[in-house]
Amino acid sequence: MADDDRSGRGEAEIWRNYLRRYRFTNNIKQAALAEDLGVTQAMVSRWESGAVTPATGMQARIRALAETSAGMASPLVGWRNHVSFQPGMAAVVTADGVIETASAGLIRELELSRGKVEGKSLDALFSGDLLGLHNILNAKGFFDGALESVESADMYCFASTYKNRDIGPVHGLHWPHVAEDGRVRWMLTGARISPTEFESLRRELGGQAELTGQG
Amino acid sequence: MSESLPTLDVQAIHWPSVIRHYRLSKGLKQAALAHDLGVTQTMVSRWESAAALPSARIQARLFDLYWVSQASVSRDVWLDRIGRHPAVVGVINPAGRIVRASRGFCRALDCDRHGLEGRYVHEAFEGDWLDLYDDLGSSGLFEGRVSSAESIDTVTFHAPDGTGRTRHVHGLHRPSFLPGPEIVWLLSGAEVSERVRDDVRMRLGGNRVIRKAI
Repeated sequence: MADDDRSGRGEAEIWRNYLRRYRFTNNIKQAALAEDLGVTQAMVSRWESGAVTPATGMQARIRALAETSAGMASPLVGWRNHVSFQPGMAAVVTADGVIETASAGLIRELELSRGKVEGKSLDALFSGDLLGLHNILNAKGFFDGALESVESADMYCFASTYKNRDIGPVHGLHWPHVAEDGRVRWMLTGARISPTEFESLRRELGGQAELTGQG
Repeated sequence: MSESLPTLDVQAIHWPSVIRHYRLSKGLKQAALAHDLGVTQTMVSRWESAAALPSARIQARLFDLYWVSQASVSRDVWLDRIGRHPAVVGVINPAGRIVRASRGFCRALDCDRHGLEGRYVHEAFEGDWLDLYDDLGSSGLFEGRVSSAESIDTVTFHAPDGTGRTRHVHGLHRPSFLPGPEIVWLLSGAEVSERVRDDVRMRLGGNRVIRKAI
C-alpha cells in the first residue's frame, strides 16, 4: 500500500487522526494507550505526529481496542475540567490569588505553557488591573460569599518578570463557586475587547468593576 | 426569559441514559440513588433497563440533581449570567433555536441580542455549525446521551441587515438540564485565528470530537 511516498503519508495521516480522536473521545493519555497496546509512549507519539504508520498487526489491535470502547460511559465533565477545556479566557483562582486551573483559551492568550500558569500566583504573572481586581474582591467579601457576580473592564499586563508586557483590554465576568473543600473560588472569565470597547465599558460600569451583591 | 417553546416531541429524553449517566458519574449504587429519590432499588433498575418510565415528579427531581452537580446557582441566575458573559456562549434548544446569546457572542458577530436570540441555527448561520448541530442531535445530545463535545468550526453569520460575517470558532459543548424537562445545548467558544483553527483541527484529528455519555 505504502509504496509510493504520497499514499504513505496519507495513511500515516489517517492513523494519526484515528488515534487522536480515539484518545480525545475517551479521555485517554498517550501513556495509557501505549500500555494497552504494549508499546512505548514514544511510539504512540510518533504515530500521532504522523511520522510513522502503525504496522499492520498493530493496526488491527488499535481497531479492536477502539471498537470495544465505543459505547462505554464517559464521566460527567466536572466543573474544573469544564474550565480547563474552555476555548475562552477562564480560570479558577483561590482567595490567596493562586491560579488553580486555567482554560485553554487563557493559556493561548498568554502564550505560556499550562505549567507556567497553573499553581502560580496572580502577582507572579500579572501586574496592574488584575491585581487591583483581586484586591477589590477581597475587600468586598467576594470570598466570603457576599457577592453574586462582578463585571469588569481590565487592562491585562504581565508582571515585571515578563517585562510588564501589555496583554490588552479584557471584558471580565466573575462569580464565586464553592469548591470541593467548601471554600469559595473565584471563577474568572473574560474575552479580549478593542480599546474603544474598553473605554465605553469603563463608562458603563462606572469604573473598573461593577459589583452585584446579595445584600 | 424561557417562554414556553414549542416542544417538538421528535427527540424524547432517553431516561435510561440520563439516569445511568448521572448515577455513574456521581459514583452512586442503584440503592443509593433510590434512597435519594425515595423509591425502591427495583424501580431504579427498571428505569435503567427502560422497563418503566420515571414519573413527571421524578423526572423533574433528576434534572434538579443534574443541575446541582453542574452549577452552583439557580437556572435563572445562570441564564442571566450567560446574557452578560464576555465570551461566546449560547443556549440552543432541541429545535435548533437560539434561546440565549451572550454579550460576547453578539460582540464576536457584531450584532445585538436580537440578531441571535429567537433565531434558528439553520437560518442564522451557514457552515460547520449546521453539521455540528446535526451531529450532536444524531449522537443524542438532546436525549441525554452526550456528555461533552469539542469542535473547531468555520461559520458565516447572516446578520438581520442582510450582511454576512465569517468566523473561526473553537467550541466546547455540553448538555444542560432545564425544566420541561428539556435538554438544551450549551455552546461556549472563542473566535480564533486561522492558525489556531489549524492547530486545534490537528489536535482533534478532525473537526469535532463528541464524547458519549453512556
